[in-house]
Amino acid sequence: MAATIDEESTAKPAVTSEEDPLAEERLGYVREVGSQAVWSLSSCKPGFGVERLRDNIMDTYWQSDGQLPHLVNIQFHKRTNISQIYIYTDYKLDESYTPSRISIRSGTNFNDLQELQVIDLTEPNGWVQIPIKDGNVKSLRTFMLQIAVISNHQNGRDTHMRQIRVHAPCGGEGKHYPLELFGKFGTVDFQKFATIR
Amino acid sequence: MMIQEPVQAAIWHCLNHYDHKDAVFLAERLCSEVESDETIFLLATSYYRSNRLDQAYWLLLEKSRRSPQCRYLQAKCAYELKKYAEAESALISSGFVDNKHFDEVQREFGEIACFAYQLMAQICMRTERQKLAVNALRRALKLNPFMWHAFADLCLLGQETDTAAIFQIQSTDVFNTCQGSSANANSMVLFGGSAVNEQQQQLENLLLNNVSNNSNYILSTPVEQQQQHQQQLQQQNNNGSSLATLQNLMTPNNNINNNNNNNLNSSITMLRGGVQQQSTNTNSSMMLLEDTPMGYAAHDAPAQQQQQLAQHQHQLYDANNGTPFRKQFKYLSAISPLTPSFGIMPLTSPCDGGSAVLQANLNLSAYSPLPQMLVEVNQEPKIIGKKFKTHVGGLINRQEKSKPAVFTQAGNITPRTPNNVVGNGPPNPNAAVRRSSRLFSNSAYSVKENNKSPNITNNNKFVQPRSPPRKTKSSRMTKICLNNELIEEKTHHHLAEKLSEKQSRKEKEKVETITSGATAGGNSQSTINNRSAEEAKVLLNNSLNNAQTLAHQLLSMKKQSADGLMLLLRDLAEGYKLLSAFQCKAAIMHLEGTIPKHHLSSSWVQSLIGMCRYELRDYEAAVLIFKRIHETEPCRLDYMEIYSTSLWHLQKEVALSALAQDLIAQDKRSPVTWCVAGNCFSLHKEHETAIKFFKRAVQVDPDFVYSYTLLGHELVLTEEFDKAMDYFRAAVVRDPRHYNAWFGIGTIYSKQEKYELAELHYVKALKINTQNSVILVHIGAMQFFMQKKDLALQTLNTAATIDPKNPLARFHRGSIYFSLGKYQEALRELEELKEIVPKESVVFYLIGKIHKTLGNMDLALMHFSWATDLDPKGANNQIKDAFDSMAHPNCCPPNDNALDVDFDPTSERSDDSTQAQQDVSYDSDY
Repeated sequence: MAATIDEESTAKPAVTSEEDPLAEERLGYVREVGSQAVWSLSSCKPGFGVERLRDNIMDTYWQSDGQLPHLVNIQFHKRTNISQIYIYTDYKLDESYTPSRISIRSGTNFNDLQELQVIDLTEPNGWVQIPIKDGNVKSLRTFMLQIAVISNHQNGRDTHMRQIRVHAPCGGEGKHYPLELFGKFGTVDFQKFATIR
Repeated sequence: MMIQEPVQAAIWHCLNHYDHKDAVFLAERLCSEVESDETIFLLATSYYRSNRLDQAYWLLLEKSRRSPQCRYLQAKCAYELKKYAEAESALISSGFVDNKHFDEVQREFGEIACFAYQLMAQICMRTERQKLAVNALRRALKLNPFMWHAFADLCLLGQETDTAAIFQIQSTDVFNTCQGSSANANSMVLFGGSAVNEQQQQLENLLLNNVSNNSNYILSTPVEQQQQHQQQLQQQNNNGSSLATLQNLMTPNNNINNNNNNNLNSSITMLRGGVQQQSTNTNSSMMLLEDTPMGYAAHDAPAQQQQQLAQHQHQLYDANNGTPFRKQFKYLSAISPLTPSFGIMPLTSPCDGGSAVLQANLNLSAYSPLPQMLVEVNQEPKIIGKKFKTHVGGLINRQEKSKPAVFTQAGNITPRTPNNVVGNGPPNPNAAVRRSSRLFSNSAYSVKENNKSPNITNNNKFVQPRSPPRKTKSSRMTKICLNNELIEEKTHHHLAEKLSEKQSRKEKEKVETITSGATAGGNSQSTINNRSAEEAKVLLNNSLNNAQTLAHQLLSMKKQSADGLMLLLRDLAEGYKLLSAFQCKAAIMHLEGTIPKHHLSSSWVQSLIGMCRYELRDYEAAVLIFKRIHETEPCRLDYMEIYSTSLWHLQKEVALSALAQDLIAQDKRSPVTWCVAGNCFSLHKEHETAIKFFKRAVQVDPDFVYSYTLLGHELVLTEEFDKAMDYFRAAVVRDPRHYNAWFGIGTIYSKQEKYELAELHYVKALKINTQNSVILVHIGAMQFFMQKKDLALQTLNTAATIDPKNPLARFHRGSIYFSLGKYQEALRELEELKEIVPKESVVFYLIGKIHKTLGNMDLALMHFSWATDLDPKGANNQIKDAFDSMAHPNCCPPNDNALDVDFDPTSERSDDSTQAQQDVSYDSDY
């Protein structure tokens, strides 16, 4: 089902607890596209399902209920540009349920998933940003993403994840809004004439 | 078997005082007791007013009554329940509306035909039969030029309208269809009552003085008043006989007052409040006494004295405007040459607005004749002397008062503006009007809402629904009633006298006149007091004559009053028309130039101007105006979505959040609220929430077009183009003239790089709103992408001409020059732009790029670094790339290449630049 894990491609995760995906969204550089996707899980404890991952509440979580690896599948209706994934975990609360190694995979469906990167987490506390890259380009156009929890802290079996956000770039590379050929206008004086609504 | 009349009256009483529950209860009881058109209609009306549309509709459907009122209400309910086909078939028995049905409708619905037309028009608009809708609206307006929203709908349909032709009363026939004949006259009174006018105030004064004399509220010494009066009359009166009259009249004893009306007494205290500030300028009024036929002075009958008194008073009113009333009476002769032109109301030039509406007020109040007679007739002989004295006293007293400019006409004329200027309280659908209708139309078929007397019955009687009162009633009712009564009384007397004078100048007939004066009063009195039939018979002939004359008179007065309103409506309509054609500058000019100040400052007119400012992309001014409106009337929702969009454009998050909070706390069921909230979240870039709120706006009111558009725009921002397209199309279906939605469709196509389609839709938007520079800029960009660079330049030139403040027109012109290789022109354009908008990093970036192309490395670097300074977050990676490429001039950065592909800077350098620079009007191309 999943591609084999390539130990060598382990990347250093960008763990910073101050990071707030919402702030970035509000700046208008990225936007959340997770709501356009269909989400599914490999397993979950009853009452701790996929809706807990998307409810914007950090106190609730998804808890898996099965064998490692635990999978979160994010399928889009159309090919979608993805630039980052944000995952919220809390080692202080979740302890051995906290994932320690995460693999990100992408493809068109379950059968052709390719691993993009593997991230190691050490006692994460807060948002973890995982940038998605396709070679040089800072985003990836894909139908499907899969987040696989390969191992947990303290060799825990089940995992907790509190929130996941998927970001697409706004008017990313090569996809400029036609009237902003030279980049986004910065001043209100320009922006107020940029469109009508 | 219940006696219906008092029950109905009780139900109407409940309804009029917002006790809808009891009204429903009583109406249900009544309906179980007697099931007739009338009771069912009453029950349905109660349901309707208590907002139980389904129940009202079900009732009317189940009982299927054929009376026009029932059918109209049924259609109205069906329409509001969105059962358009049912509504249509309720209105028109044969099913669907067709042009040939219009006359039929007019026949069937009689005086409510105009509303039936409007309903038909609304149904047609919902069902996309614009032509029929336009027809129906025009007919409605013809029948009832007071229907502003019919006109507004015409404008929204993009129809060419002639405001001067619509808002004018060609003949007084219009009043039959636009004011209702009897019980519905409250619309008139509403209008009249709202504007406190001079005459009315004078009447109040008079009344007060009357009352005060009678009840020992002595405001001035009656004897002195008399003397003054006498003096003035002597000075001003050429007519010796009139002098005699006066002396004759002077005699009565000051102290008679025992017969005074109870209601007058009861209202004294109320009146006292309002009167003191009121004023009169009646000095001039005495001038007209020479016109008064004073030949009757010698006659001893007290009744005649009373008549003459009334005459005097009338002339006094006339004289207030300082012109001889004969000249002023324009319409009377045209309407009925038989009527002597004894001008109740002077016709001053209505240009000053105030006086016109002022007149209107007197006319309106004067419209209802004779109620006071009801009370007075019995006491007539006794009180006449006293009455005269008191009247005179009142008149003189008026003169002594100073005149603050009290009256305002703002308010109920424009239905969207609840009048807060007029301090004098609510309009009053008073009993007087209704009595009057009974008096001379002989078809008094109305429920007298305030009059519970059971012997007012008529075959034709039908309970008329009163439009839900727009203002609360208060104690002022009484006052206004009294005023009306007073005027009416005088009118009547005067008329009676005139009539008799016309017939012959013999004294004999004067006696008859006197009797006739008593007759009209007695007539009405008889309805209540059941006077003997013999007496009535004797007086019948005279009273009929009186009634006819009076009717003509009143009609002309009504016309004059309505003309004042029409004048205002014409100006408003002209402004509205200009706005709906997006001639915003002209609209502002017109509104600010022609509308009287007190109307101009009203929220409704202000929001029109705000709307114009918004359409002119002058968001700052629009925000100022709307902010003021929101502060003065926090509960006003109209146009608040425009306010929020203006704030959105200006990115004023705090103000927008505050507004959203206010509105959500106020009214969660209005689409405006949710549009504002959605805009707020959209500005916060929380698009999902914004979409949620816009969807809610659509849910709470699926007919509110703007919420679809906003939802579409929001979905474009989240790049869900298919859904966005659906919503834009939904908006366009509901309102084909909603240019924002056409623009949104264009945006989607341009994002999908379908430039031709995009241009097509932008042009559609532009055709609706020809003055919009933003649309022009977008069209220019589309043409540019389609390699029509000359056309693009022309378009952008037009945009810059239309709106010199639009920086994007200049910016894109500069970038096109750049792509055409006209670097110097591009630089000039951008340097100018830099002066206007000094902090836009993209401008510096483009200047840097041009310098780089020209090889001015230092200038290029300077501009790039400025650009970076202005945009330190590096939202535009290309600036950094540009730096990189400067560092390695040989290696081209991929991003720049991607951009330059679009511009293709070398391909068309040989273009004829002169042609490109021509300022060809873009509008003519489309």
